[in-house]
Amino acid sequence: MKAGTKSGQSLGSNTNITGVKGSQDILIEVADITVSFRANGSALKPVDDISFHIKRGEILGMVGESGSGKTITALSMMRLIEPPGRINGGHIIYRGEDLLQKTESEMRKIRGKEIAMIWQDPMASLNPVKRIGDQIEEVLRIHRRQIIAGNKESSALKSMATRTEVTLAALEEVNIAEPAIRMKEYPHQLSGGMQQRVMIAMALVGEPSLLIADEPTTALDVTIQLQILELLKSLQKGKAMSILLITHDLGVVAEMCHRVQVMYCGRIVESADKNDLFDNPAHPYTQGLLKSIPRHDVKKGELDSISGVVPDLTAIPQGCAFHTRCPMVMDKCRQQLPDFISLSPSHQVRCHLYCD
Amino acid sequence: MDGDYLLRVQNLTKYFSVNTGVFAQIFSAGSDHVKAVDGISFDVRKGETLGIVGESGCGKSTAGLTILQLLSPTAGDVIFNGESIVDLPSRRKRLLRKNLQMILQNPYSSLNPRMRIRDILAEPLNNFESNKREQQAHRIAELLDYVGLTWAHSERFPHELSGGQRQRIGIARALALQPKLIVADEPVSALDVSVQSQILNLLLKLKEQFGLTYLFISHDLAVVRYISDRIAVMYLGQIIELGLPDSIYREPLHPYTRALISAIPEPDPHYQRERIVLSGGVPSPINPPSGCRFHTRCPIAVKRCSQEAPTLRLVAPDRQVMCHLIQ
Repeated sequence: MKAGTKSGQSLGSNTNITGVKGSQDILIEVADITVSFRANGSALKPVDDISFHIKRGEILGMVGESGSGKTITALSMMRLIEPPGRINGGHIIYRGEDLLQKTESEMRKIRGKEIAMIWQDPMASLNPVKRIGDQIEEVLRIHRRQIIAGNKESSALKSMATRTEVTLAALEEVNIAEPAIRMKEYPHQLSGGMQQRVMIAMALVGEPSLLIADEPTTALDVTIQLQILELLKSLQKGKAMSILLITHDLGVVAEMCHRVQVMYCGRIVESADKNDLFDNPAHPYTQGLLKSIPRHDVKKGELDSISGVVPDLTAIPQGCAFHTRCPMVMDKCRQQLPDFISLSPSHQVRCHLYCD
Repeated sequence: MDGDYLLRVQNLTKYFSVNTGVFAQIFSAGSDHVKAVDGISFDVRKGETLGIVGESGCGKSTAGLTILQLLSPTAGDVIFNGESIVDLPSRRKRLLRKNLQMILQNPYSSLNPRMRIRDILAEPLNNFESNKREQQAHRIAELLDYVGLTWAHSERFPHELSGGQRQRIGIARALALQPKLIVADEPVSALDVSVQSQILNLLLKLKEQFGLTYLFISHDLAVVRYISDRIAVMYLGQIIELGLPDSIYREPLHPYTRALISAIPEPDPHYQRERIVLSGGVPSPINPPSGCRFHTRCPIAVKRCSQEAPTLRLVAPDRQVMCHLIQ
């Protein structure tokens, strides 16, 4: 079954049209990853046997409610799961190499350089007692060797003066006015939107191939959110970088992503091209989510909602985890976990309604 | 016509002093003020939901607290049920609480973690009504039923409930004394999408059931549009546009409202519209810009905007706008 899914996906990537320009090859492939935490003798699985891939130059959206395993998935891709949590089995193949086989020092060269991450709350992620210029330079210092190897002409990165220049350019790239003044300031002197720009500058200064953005605009006001999303879009195009965009906001997904996967209770329940997902949502959970957002054409009193609440991690239901809230539940759903089946080369769903 | 209004807010103003230290008070010539709410006026009819929308720091929460007299206004008047409630003696103010209730944003921090749900709901009843134990239990069961919970929840502690259930308790507590007006400050912002719509529909149902009037404060424009009968848009302490939800969303007049509406991410990839990206962030409310407060970010500002402050004018029936450039 698992092998079947994988070949189905790679077939999909050869034949489908996703709107991704240029090469269609896979940058990173996550295969059969489970993350477990041992608590009071029982193992909790915030991420349970998930597989997906991200193509070069693609923005993949990962949507789900709190506790669905989005952030843990992202952390496992960077190998940042700390004990008592651990990654059980599986592979994370990045540019043909398995990240799970790397030593810690090899991983340190990848984090921030090959795969970078921006977080939800910029104020909590920036060091409050360090000037922002120094925080960006830190990335350059740590990854100096690789940056030099990748970029022959900037071999002078060792020198303080050049590092300052690169930092200035990085701040300019994220549209921060007067970067020379700003780089000497501390995080608390900047607004939330500016702080998030600094985070983006810091993430991009190593020129990563994959940017993991975990709820990058959730803490920001709508008008600032639009600024940051537009910035991310233009940077992604300019650098042909891939983005894994984690969000709970389907509006942000509609705006940004090429492809979307929906998570529920640690599993991917649906994966599709953006338009396909919004036009023909297959999983009852996705359908419920889309019907419960107030959007421009919903009239008062017409908003649907999904009954019940997201189950607790300690009590994930047997069979399909959504069966306790599903309006179309069948007997089978309570006993047996549905397979992840393909409706089309680019649309997969984990639901018994589509079996046979 | 006048009797239809449950709440009339007139030129309501709330400043917070920045220099609170003794040294600063003695030596600084004029101390600075955060002009959180700066002269807002509106009326709310009985049974109406007025949505107040704006970005962080625009003064919408301060407006709510000042209307409820939880903060005393710097200037202006609040008329509830035909009577001014500003500067009431504290005993009368206490009685007013029965009619004015509040639902808070964070259901995790607004319920006492050491009290059982039963006791949380009994507290307002004990404060204002002298009921027998049996009657009270009956009333609590009724309240739980109104918000879609059962008596089984009454023995639990807040941490045993999910976020959505906790917000239901917050709503039940607000309903306990049969208030006339409920100020709901970001009641669904802390909740997941699938739970958010449950709570919104519950609020709509309760409004019908008890003939409530809501003042619904939120940063989420889609949510405000869904629940409100009229919407006030705030920017830097002022109401800059007021009107019916559909007309504000279809045809926003103030340049700020236009940008705000265009910035909502719509969960519909086929929805085509013009996006207006504003430059910069919201200026400080300590020294707000001269003239029109939005002129520093306004894409269509003219010279007059920086010199002369516009007033909130009626431009169509049920539509007020604060902008020089709208006729």
